Amino acid sequence: MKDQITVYVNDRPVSIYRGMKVKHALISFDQTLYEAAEQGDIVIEDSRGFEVGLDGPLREGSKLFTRSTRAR
Amino acid sequence: MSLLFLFAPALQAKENAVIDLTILHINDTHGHILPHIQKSIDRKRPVGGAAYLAKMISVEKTENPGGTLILSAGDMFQGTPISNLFHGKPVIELMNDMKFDAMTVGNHEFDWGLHVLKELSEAARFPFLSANVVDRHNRAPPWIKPYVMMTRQGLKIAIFGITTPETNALTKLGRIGIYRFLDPEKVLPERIRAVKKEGARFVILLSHQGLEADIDLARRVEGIHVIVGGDSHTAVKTPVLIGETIVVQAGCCGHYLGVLKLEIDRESGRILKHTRKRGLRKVLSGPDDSYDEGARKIVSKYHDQIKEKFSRVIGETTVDLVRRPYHESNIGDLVCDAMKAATGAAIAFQNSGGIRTNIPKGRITLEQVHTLLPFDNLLISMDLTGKQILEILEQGATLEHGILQVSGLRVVINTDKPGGSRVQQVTVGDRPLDPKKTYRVTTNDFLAAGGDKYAAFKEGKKAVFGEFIRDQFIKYLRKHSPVTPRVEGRIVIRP
Repeated sequence: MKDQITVYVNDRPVSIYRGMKVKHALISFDQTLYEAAEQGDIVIEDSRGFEVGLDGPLREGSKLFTRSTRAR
Repeated sequence: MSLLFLFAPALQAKENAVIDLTILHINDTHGHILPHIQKSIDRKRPVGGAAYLAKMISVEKTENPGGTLILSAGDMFQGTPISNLFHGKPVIELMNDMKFDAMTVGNHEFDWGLHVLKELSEAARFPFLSANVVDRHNRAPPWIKPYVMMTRQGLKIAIFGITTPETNALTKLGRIGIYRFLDPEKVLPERIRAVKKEGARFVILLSHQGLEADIDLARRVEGIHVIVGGDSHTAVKTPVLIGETIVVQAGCCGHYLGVLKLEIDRESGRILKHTRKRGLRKVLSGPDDSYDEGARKIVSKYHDQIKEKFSRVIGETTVDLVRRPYHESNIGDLVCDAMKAATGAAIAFQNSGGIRTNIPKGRITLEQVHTLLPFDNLLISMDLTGKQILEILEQGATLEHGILQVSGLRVVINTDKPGGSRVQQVTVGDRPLDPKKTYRVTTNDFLAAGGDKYAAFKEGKKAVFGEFIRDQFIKYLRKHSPVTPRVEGRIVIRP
């Protein structure tokens, strides 16, 4: 089994270790997004537009999108 | 009036042909039984809290007392001090109090090993379910059932559980013992046929494998009416309809109560109507929100005990343990030594920002360790080349986010040199770092994800997750106390 999986943040590929979570994908992609999510300034959504938690697990090919909470 | 009287039996028969079923569901609570601030949900008003959830459940149940099911899709226990310190007992006690009907076993249910899971299942007044956990003889653990049959308003309902097959890879072998997790798609069709022969008219799957996998399963396996999901922490605010299967999930951490209301044809079990909007209700826990007094007492009982547990002495230091974010610190050395000892790696790295307090000399309590290492960081060990380690040390030498604390190596840094050439000398053990050699390195999951711009950690090979760093630090202190760590020249910064 591969050490790493590829997930997508805002359609950009991010390589993370298998077993890592949503928060790790954000840290890996852009740490400021993780910090913004912690502060509630953005929410993280899956490809169906449902919010996912920062501790949610990821699988190969998972897609995440960031959305500003100011738009709500 | 007389006409109504004449038609009343017919109306009654029609009404009886349709059953109102309410499914109340939660998942991935991860021990969050206390209210907390979750800024993405509400910036000021606390959310979550078992006492508030219990009140919402009792109100919903009152609306349909004979036709309500209370279900959990797993990962209920591991994740907060109040639950972790008692190995999930507060959560089970609360679920018993709320009269849960069933829960599936999530992958994190195995975090404390099989014996703890067995104890929790025995303490529960509802079944633990998983149809795809088996030993090498295809036998399930006797304390986990594949399914349970329940009757609501005369409708016979089969409730299955499944656990993500990722548990095979993500949970340490010692934790899952002789068990493995089969592909749900291969297990469920035969099981569903069997329960239908037993008279089940309605099939619910408690599925701990994530929303996308649930949707795939709904497409591939016939005969499931509702999938109550967990694992991906997805707040499915509008139920997803795949063919004739409804898929729901209620976020995580006790933030939401899922409420799925169904009208079901008694004879065929077919869903005639279902909740299409507002499938999730926020569990708001501000001062004006209602809570259940019985549940509050259970939470308080354990909360009070936490103070006693936190005051327990778990070690001793003969010197003050002092942070120094831009220099080697004795407490950084101690934390890294504990990380190295826990994993057997040659080198350990910990970011100074993850070490949050000083500890004065004397006895060390559990509370002090939780203040010192408040983040739930996991160990992760990997193979890195000497060249990658040099890149990591160069990033540390920028002093942008404080220095990396280390164990297993010594480094000399000259901050007068330009970035990228500040690391002057590195030794691992007694030998100079070899850029071409591979070293086993352990760090925390934040750095391993490339946090604080330590990108080279993302390039490791043979990566393996370990335990919580805090737990390993506690073990180390218990074993080695009294400790006397001194700044010993692991990191020398010139000029």
